[in-house]
Amino acid sequence: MNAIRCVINGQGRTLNAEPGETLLVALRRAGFFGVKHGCDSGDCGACMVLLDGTPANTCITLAAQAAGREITTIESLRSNGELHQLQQAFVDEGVGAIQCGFCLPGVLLSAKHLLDHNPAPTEAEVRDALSGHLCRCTGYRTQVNAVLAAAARQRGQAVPPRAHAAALAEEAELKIVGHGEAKVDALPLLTGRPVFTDDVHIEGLLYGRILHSPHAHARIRDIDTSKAEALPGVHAVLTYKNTPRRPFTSAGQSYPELSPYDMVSLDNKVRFVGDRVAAVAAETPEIAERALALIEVDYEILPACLTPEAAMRPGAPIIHDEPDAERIHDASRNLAASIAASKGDVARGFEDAHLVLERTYRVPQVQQTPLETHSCITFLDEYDRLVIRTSTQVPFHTRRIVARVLGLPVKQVRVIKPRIGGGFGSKQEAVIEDLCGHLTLATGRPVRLEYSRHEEFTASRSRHPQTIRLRMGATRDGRITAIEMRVIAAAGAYGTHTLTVQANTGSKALWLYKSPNLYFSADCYYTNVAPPGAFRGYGAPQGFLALEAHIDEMAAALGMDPMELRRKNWVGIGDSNPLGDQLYDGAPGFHDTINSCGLPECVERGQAAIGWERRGEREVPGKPHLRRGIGGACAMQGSAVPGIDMGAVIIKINDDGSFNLLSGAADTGGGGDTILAQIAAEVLGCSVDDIVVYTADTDFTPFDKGAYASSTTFLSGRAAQLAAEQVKEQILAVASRMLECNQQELTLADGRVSTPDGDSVSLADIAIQSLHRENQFQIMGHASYMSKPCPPPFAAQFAEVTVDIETGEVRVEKIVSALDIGMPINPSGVEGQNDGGVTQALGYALCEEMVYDEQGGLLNPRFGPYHILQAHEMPELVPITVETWEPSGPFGAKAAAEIPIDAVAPAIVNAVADATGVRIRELPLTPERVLRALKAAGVSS
Amino acid sequence: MKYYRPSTLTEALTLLRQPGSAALAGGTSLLADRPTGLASVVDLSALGLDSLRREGDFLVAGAMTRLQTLATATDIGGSAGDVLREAARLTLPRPQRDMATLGGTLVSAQGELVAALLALGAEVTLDGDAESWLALEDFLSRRGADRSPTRLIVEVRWPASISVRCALSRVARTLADAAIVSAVACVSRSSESIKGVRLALGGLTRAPFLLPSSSNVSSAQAILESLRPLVQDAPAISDFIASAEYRRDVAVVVARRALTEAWERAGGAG
Repeated sequence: MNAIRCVINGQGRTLNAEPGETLLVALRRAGFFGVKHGCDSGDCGACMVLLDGTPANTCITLAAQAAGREITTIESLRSNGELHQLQQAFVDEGVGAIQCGFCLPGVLLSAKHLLDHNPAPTEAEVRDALSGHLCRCTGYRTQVNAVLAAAARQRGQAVPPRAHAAALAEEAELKIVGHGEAKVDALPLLTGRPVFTDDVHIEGLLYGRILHSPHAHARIRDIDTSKAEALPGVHAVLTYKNTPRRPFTSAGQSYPELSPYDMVSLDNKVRFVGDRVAAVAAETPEIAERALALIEVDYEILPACLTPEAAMRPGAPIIHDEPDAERIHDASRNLAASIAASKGDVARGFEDAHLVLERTYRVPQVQQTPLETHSCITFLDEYDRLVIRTSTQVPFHTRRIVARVLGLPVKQVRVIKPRIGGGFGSKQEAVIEDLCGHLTLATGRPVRLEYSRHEEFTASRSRHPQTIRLRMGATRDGRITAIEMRVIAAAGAYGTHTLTVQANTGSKALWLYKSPNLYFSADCYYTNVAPPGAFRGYGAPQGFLALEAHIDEMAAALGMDPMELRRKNWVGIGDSNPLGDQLYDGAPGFHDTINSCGLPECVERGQAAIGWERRGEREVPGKPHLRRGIGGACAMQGSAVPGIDMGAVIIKINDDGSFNLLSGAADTGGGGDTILAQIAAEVLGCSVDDIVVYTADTDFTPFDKGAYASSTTFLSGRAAQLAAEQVKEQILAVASRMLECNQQELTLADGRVSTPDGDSVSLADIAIQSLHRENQFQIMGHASYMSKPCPPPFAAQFAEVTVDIETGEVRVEKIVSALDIGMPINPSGVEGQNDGGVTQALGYALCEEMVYDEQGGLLNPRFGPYHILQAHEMPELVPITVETWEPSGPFGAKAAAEIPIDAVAPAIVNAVADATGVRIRELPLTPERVLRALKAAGVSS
Repeated sequence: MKYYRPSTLTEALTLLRQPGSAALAGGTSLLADRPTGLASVVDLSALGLDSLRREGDFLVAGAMTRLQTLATATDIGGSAGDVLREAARLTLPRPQRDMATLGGTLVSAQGELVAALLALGAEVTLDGDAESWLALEDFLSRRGADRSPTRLIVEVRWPASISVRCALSRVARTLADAAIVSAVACVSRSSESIKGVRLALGGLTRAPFLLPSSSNVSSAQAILESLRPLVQDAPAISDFIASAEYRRDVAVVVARRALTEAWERAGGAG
């Protein structure tokens, strides 16, 4: 190692680095964990520091370049325990501005650099300063607000913290719920504390690396690892030859999973470019890398199927010909999953219609791209139990899956989820934990396995691409008589989440309108590309793209306003999901029924905010090549998986009257931990500060299904409410004896229990009494919650676009996203979910797409070519929260996580049609695709 | 991988002659891509090449001038300054723009800044031969097939004329995405009439190129007509973002837009 003298945060330091090593690696080794690994190519900004006062991305800076220079990291921003004004501004802006926090160290340093040079920046200047900091959570709006607020305060202007209070909270006299409480993990995230999976130093750590397949489909005739094993510093080389073969699914779902057991840790066959061939553990990443290069693999290359069309062809190569796979629908036809559901008789429904339209829609494979890649550390504890510290959305499912794959009893495995840098479904999977565990078992040593961004793109998960044939019939007056939706999807190489995602396309989209006749089918074929899996929305964005674009086409053909056609047919209170049972939308018999519905108000407020009356005004004065348009779309999602998924919470009192809240819920950045704390604090009459939240550790917290299917607020939140109510009862019982007052007459508020006469005892007094003095016992409650209903949240989303008819470019000027998510427990958090979901959907609509070459290699495994939207190119975002009270939810809440991603893309497609008169039925709306459609329609020459 | 930070150009050039050696400027390309066989890097940051100054009729920038310096340079006046600042901003977003350099950008031959400098008539000096200025278009056309220059760019200069009128036009998937095709036009005029037109196109071919200057500068329309066959015959790139056919189509559109706008700014008729 070379010793590099430099100054870090004002102190002279020596950094140790291997030649060629990046400054990122050297700084993290020296304990500056606030510097984050996001992309390896300088594209995301997560690793940014100030180098001699100038922003520099450390993943593309050599450690050697820092010699003699001054480095400023996020760790320096807080001084003498005081938050920097920028950090405070992010706290004040609310949960929505912080979210997973993985991008924040870079964002804050860039913002500081800006304000140091420009104390009064414009919004455009702030956006420019943040332009190279990719954020997948916030949509940037609130981050920009926070920077502007900090700038104003630095100039001496008073900017009060953003007020967030739900009207319903005021009405219901709620003090904590419905208010913009600060995020419980705000401080560590804003100050760069080591809270993420990889932010630890572990003695004796080995570095794991995976050898990925260069071929889309091949059998491994033989594999020679002798040279790799002989390399000094290599501790294990695993292949199919020395790794137990136990079929499993990586899908994190409640047991038994509805995904086929069609993968093993290491197979003698590879099924996509990026598939696992071997795994190595070595003393340094460089040695591990060299060892991979020494592994000699003899491949028998097989013909590949890159598309469902190729995979379904008679005589197509069979992707899963192994005899031990389980639950594949029909391996001999490459059919990973197939499902159909119906209500009434669609043929009859089409006969009754005056208008029947059939169209085909295509949606691409896109990736979640959380800023933190998949990251995992495994080690054996003092009792030889396997500890898995991992960036996961599903700690309990991961424990169960990995235990089985490693051949360990569940009790021998502990999974810990620290803070995680976003997931969006990609971490509802055990993508790498099994391999990391195998390497620890093989070596007896701690092993770290972290994906590079390239691996994240080529060997993790994504959204299922679909071709959707939609046929709809309606009467002249706009009554829908039948809807038929037939989906062909690509499962990729493994069928993880395949059945349930495709089923969800029908079960979520097809009951938005009350058609007496429905038919849905989905056939999902194995293909030789990286497997899709769970991605925010889970099949619903695909379904709503087709449904909501189609409704507009129907309306145009009927000569109706498209929102009027929706209004005539949409569901409302009392309606049930007619296809839910057939489409695994929960356990059999758990019918989703609508008990709260703010959809009409979402549409009304959304239309007003977008200026719906301006539809049809296509011309842009002075710009003959531009056309302007407005479009809207609606959607509904669910809140958890009814009858199947469960969350549980334990709450106990401490000596000082504070509480520990223990839950298996897996906050992925959206603020789940804060929501649980708010709910508990509301019941327990204390502040959020007095709830110490510890979550997602399978040894110390009760079971929770994890963070998916929009569940945490609804399920785990309800469990928190129920547990807190038990604790409250116990508190009142103790207080009743202390105050010699009937329990029913006591009130608990502001940290005290009071009698009607004004006598009171504090929660601390009660804790001391119960823990130390009389009838000693632990005041403690625990509750589980499994939902029977699955109340749908609703969305009405609107887009204003400009289309350049000479180039085909689509520019989105404004998005209005009105959500009914019940009662917003944390209004800022809901807006954050709204902005973030909208922004991901903008990418889906405009530019995101995984594209493969003819050999199955991904053509764009890097940010940039895979473009996610940046701060300085965002349209105006207008999030609207329509408050309703959901009787089945905790304090009236429904789910907010997925619904905002559902209807943005069809709203944009509809806006393009309004602008140009041309309907484009394939995403993303790239300039070439749009121009081709405009030319075919004669709009462009 | 060995790392050197020489303090003289001579030393740097000697080091660069070693096999497997590459010049390290901002690192946004070299260290992001890390080409195989890279044995040593020669950091150019201590050579004093991060400077932007006026010299007679020219603006002269050291090869290590950061794109952010160009994006915010208030001392580059007139329409040329506007288009250079815009081009620098469009080429990369912020922290990368603080790192990426003018020389590195010219070597990578990507982004609007290269097209803008071509249109402005930029020249480069190589290997410290300060007296020998090479036209940027000649430098780009002489680049090796492996994209690595055989010689080191030391300085870049372009005419500081305030009478030139420039405009930039581009097509991209989104506002901040890399351009699919871009065009920069610079129109210069004498007191009476349009004197010269330089039009550069990026994204159509592997490196931006300058369309041969037309002797007929009577109208923008005439220039555009002469451009059409050149675009049709160009070896256009085709990739997953856009086909060659699309690039040819919109190259004509952005060329027209840039030229028309620059022409109007220059006060030309039709």
